[in-house]
Amino acid sequence: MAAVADKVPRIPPFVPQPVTVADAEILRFRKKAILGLLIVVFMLIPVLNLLGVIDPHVLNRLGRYLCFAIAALGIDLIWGYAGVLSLCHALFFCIGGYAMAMHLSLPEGGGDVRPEYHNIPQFFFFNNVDTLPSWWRPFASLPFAVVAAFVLPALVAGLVGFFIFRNRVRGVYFSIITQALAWGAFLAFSRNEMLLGGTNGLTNFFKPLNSENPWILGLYLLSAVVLVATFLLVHAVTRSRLGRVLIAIRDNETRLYFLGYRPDVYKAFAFIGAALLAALGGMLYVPQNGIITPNVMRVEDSIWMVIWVAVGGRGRLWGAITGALLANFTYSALTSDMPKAWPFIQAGLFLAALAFPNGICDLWIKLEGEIRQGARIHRTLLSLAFIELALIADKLRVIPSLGGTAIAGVQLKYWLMIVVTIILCFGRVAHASIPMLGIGWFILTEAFGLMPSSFSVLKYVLVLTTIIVYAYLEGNLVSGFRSLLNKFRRPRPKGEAATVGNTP
Amino acid sequence: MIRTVVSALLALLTAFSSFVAAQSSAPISPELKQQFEQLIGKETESRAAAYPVLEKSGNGALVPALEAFRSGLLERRTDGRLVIYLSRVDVNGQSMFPIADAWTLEPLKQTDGSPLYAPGLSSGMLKSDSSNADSLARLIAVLSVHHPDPEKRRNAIIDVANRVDRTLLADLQEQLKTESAGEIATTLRESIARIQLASGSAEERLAAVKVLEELGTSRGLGDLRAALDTAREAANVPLVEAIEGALATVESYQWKVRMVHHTFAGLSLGSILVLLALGLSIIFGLMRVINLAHGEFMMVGAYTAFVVAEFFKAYVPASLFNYYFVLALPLAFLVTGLVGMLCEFAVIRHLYGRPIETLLATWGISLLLIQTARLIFGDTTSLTPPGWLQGGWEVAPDLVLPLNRVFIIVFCAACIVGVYYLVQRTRFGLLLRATTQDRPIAAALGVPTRWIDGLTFGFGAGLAGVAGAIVPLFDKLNPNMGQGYVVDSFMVVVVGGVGKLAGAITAGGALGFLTKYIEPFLEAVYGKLAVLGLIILFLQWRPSGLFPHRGRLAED
Repeated sequence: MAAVADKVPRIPPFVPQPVTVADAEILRFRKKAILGLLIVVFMLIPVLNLLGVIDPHVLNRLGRYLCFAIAALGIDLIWGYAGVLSLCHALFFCIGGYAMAMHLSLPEGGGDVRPEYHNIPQFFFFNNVDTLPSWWRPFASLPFAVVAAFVLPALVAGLVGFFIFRNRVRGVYFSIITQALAWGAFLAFSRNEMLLGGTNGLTNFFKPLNSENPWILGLYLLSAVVLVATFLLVHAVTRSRLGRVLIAIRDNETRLYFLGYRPDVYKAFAFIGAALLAALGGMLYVPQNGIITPNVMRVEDSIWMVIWVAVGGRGRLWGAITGALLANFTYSALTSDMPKAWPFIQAGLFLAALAFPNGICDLWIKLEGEIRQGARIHRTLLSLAFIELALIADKLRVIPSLGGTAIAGVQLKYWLMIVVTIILCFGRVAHASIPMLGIGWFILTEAFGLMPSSFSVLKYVLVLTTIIVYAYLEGNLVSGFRSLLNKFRRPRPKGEAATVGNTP
Repeated sequence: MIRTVVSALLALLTAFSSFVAAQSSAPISPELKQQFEQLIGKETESRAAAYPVLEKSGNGALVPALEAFRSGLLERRTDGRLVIYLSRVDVNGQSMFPIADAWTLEPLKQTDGSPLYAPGLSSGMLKSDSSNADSLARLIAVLSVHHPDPEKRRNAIIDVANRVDRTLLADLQEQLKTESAGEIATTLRESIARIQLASGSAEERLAAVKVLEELGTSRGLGDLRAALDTAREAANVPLVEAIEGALATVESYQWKVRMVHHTFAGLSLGSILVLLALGLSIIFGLMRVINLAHGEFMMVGAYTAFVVAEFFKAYVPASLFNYYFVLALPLAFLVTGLVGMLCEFAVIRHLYGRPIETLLATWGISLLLIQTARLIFGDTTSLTPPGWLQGGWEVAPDLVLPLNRVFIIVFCAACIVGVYYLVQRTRFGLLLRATTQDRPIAAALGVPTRWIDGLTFGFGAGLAGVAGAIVPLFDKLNPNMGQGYVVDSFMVVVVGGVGKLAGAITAGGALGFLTKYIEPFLEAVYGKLAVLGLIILFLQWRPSGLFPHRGRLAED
């Protein structure tokens, strides 16, 4: 079979776009985009929060999703760059989280302990343990907890990576073994004898951490700073020689091996790095979430984390972050709007992620290409700014309700906003910016917590419409439909495949 | 033609089931019936007089009527017949009492021949009052020792020994003379010895220790331990020595019994894993597809069995319910196979050559299947195993092999042989192997590789479905049930060597044994982790499994 796979030209599973040497205009554009994002994250959101436009719980949710984005960077490092699919990423996330949670549930970490439960975390009482186990004691100090949160996942990842990569177990075998590891760890953490709270997990932390504003804002800013820092770090790693070797492992490990490299060492490095990033995300996630349970480390969650990166586009760090935010905002929106349909839509996301191997990042590449050819996106940005400002004004109750008449359950003022937004972006805009407007509007509005409650259906319609408009403008709508129809006809091998035999 | 065959089969089955039902009845003489009438009558003296007479009769067939009388489930019909209400059953969604004759236990029929049910208790139920409760309880205990139903008789005998009811010792010894069935005779000897050990004279105790040593049962073990303590307190040296000797013998016997149990449980777990792993292994060998939805195919098979059982409950005479399983197994294979082929056609076909992507895609499919099952069937349901698979087969004292496990092992063995035959001896197997070994050449020689892919995927899924259909024999059904098994069966594939039937079979058996041997020493969860650690270590020794490919195929 291997012989077959080598002889037959493989369908390229995923074609990483070469890192283009961008011209000056593109570089300027990128700088502006990054600056704009930094302003939104570090100035606009805190200011809006202090003004009372962004509710604390909404900011808290955003902070948690930033932690997910940190973990997603790790997945991108190991999967997107080194091409190794690890299915126990949620386990590392949870190990980091548990270490932090242990500190937070002790009195030294501000845990809610009571004299009637011997002044130790309450779950011990229910497990008939009266004194703090000795291995819990060091976690009273924050530095120890932080160090442990890094060392433990690195140890697990190092051991597993060393043993598995050493004898060239690769590809899906590695995924299967990590999946079994995640499953076993989930079962073990669910036991009460582990003295980690069993299925109920660890909770009863210092209350204001995830309910009072200064704490929430502080933790949000901390997460954002850490995200930016880890992004820069991983970016530097992937641009270095080391990153090149990782990409080489993904593209042709055997050739690299014959060139005298030791892929196992590099893979173990990437695996440990990914585990550390996940643990970092978990560490910041726990105080904002207020609870951690073994349910976060199930195999499903690991695969769900992989899907974030697949949605965003693997092999691109921007993609990982965007994917994590987009997937999670979609998750939170859909689970509240139509909880029963969510698993179906999640499954659809899986399949969609496979149909578009480069994910959302394709749009960005496309956009840069269009800009190089002279397209402009000012109008799109203007309309995005308009609708966000309008929604902010609405939240501040500046906008009158215009008599309260509703069309299709949505008030007239919102329809007016949408119409003005659409009119504003009429003209010569880059095609790729249209779905980006839709998706960006969705992410921003969800992140700010500005989505009017009556938009439960409308928001999906709007986002989908922008995508359809884009597909129409690009001429993909008809051809895509035709190729879909072709899939149900008898396949006729074409080109090289017709001469070599049928490609599996 | 088919209809005749089916109706003949149905008639045969009905005859068989009524034969089974008829065996447990024993005649009750009219005098006894009259005594029973006195017992439930109004006259206090004749009531009291009836107890010794009935007790002396020793006719166990009276027990159902007596128990019904005690719990108020006895009724006199207008024609004077005494009937008892049996425990409630579900009839067309309503919970009803089946009604049976108090003496023969035959169900009452309506005029059209269908069984008679009562929606609730009538006002005229006969019930014993509290004044005679003790006598009645004693009468039931005595007669239960002679109960016509072997299982109930046995439980009654054990119960007597548990209560150390020496007054019934004579009854037990009398019953031992008439007892022919081996198991019950053993139980009787055990119970007699236990009573003697607890309450007898010195010689009796020594003799009882000998008997218990010879039988080696776990109940005897507990009694021996207790007796050892009392004997030590009483400083009864010969007895202490005898008991210590007996304990050593019994404990080693019990250890052997436990090991046989673990082996047996391991064998049955292993055979289910093998069924799953065979499908996975064939699919992976042929298409390089890691099928994470395999566990969910198993779940589909289990729910197919559930639907068949529900269908039988609703539309097929109750006497035939026990045979639903005969239909459920092939249907589970077909339905799951079709679902598998549908998945292959709709999704997996487009992802060949991209193993990691198929992994994610099949995970998506598994989410879909789980949620669909949850919407249709709810969270947890269970399935009544057919009657002929309940209970156990007692090979030696305390060594009971549960029939469902025996069935699973035999059935899986048959399936494995069938798969082997299909792959090695049939034309489909030939084409399958050809495509597995060299796809382009096989295609060039005219093998319809795409059809082979689809059929093979369906076949592998069908095997998982069959495995799923036998899971309800010992476990509950829920939409997530497949996930626990699929992780294990992946381990089987990895250990056995991918795409190797012999590897899957060996590794499946080994993993089953290992899990069940480790479980008693560690908790089940830690057992799983230990097995996982062992597998990682094993892969250090043999990175491509027990049976690696040789030659060109080994390059991967």
